[in-house]
Amino acid sequence: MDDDTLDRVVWEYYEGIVLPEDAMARILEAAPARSVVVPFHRRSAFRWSIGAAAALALMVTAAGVAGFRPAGAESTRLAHQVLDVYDHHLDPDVYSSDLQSIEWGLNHTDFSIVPSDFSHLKGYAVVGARKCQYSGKKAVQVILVGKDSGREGCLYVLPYDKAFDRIREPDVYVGNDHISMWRDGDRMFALYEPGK
Amino acid sequence: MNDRELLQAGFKYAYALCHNYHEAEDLVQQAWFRLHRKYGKVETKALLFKTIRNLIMDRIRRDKVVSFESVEDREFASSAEVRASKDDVEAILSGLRREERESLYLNVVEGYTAQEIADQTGSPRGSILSLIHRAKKKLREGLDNSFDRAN
Repeated sequence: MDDDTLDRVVWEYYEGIVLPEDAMARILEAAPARSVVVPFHRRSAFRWSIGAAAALALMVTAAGVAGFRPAGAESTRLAHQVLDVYDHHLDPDVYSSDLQSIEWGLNHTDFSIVPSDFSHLKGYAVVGARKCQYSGKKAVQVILVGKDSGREGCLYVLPYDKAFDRIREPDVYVGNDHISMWRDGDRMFALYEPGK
Repeated sequence: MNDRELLQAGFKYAYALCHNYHEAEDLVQQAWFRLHRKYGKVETKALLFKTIRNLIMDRIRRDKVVSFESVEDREFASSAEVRASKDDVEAILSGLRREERESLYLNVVEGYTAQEIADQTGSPRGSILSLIHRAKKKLREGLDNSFDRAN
């Protein structure tokens, strides 16, 4: 059973869970009597203005951090691409702990996402994967969760390209985050591990 | 979203948390009244969900027991596919951990991303992804088994 079918089963099940009409009428009728005047600090306009100011401050900070990324070697480029994809926190297209099942579930990846050596993934559990792109080419982001730490990492799999020959440093640190890269036949793997 | 839609959404979410009709009704009512007392109205679905969640967490802490399913008074959709296996779906969902059911519900029914669920529940995104994964795995295995039995 694929993820879409499973989702539909769950969705249809909960569609059938409804609050009875008499209970709804009772709640709606009784609620206004319980209303009180809202204190100023709880009024939505006031809260929104604080929220907007906080969001603006966060965006300015984030823009500053994102802008501070050195250009250069292919390893740095790949590392930053991995970080960019990770930062978007996108959900998996397919949920599974089995890479082979994920490969079938994703369809048309054109390359295998199963590494020939699993030692890099030691300590991680696979939870799913999604399709993405690297330099306009298909790639796959496998979502990992640390078995002990519960921290999220990701494995980036993409077809090997000549440009990767220029990679001199297979280990890149961006802040505390670590990205390790390795070639596996005709594929390139990049593992992102969040810093502590 | 009007009040009726908000109440229905709140009820479904409460049901996903406790899997008990009466408790879900009680939770959504209590949350609704609480928000009216505080703000004079229920402004957003997110706030209603958060209040429902806080209420059930208070109950769990107070009672130190997680109340599970009652199998009475169920109403189901008319879809033939779901009707064919509604008891199985009910049983499997009831067997999930509350956190798994909650994450699955918010993801599949409400369309929240793992990050949004993490923000809502205060759990790390990695944990939410694991919960959704485990919930789907259990559901898939359970349904496969029930289909095998039926055939």
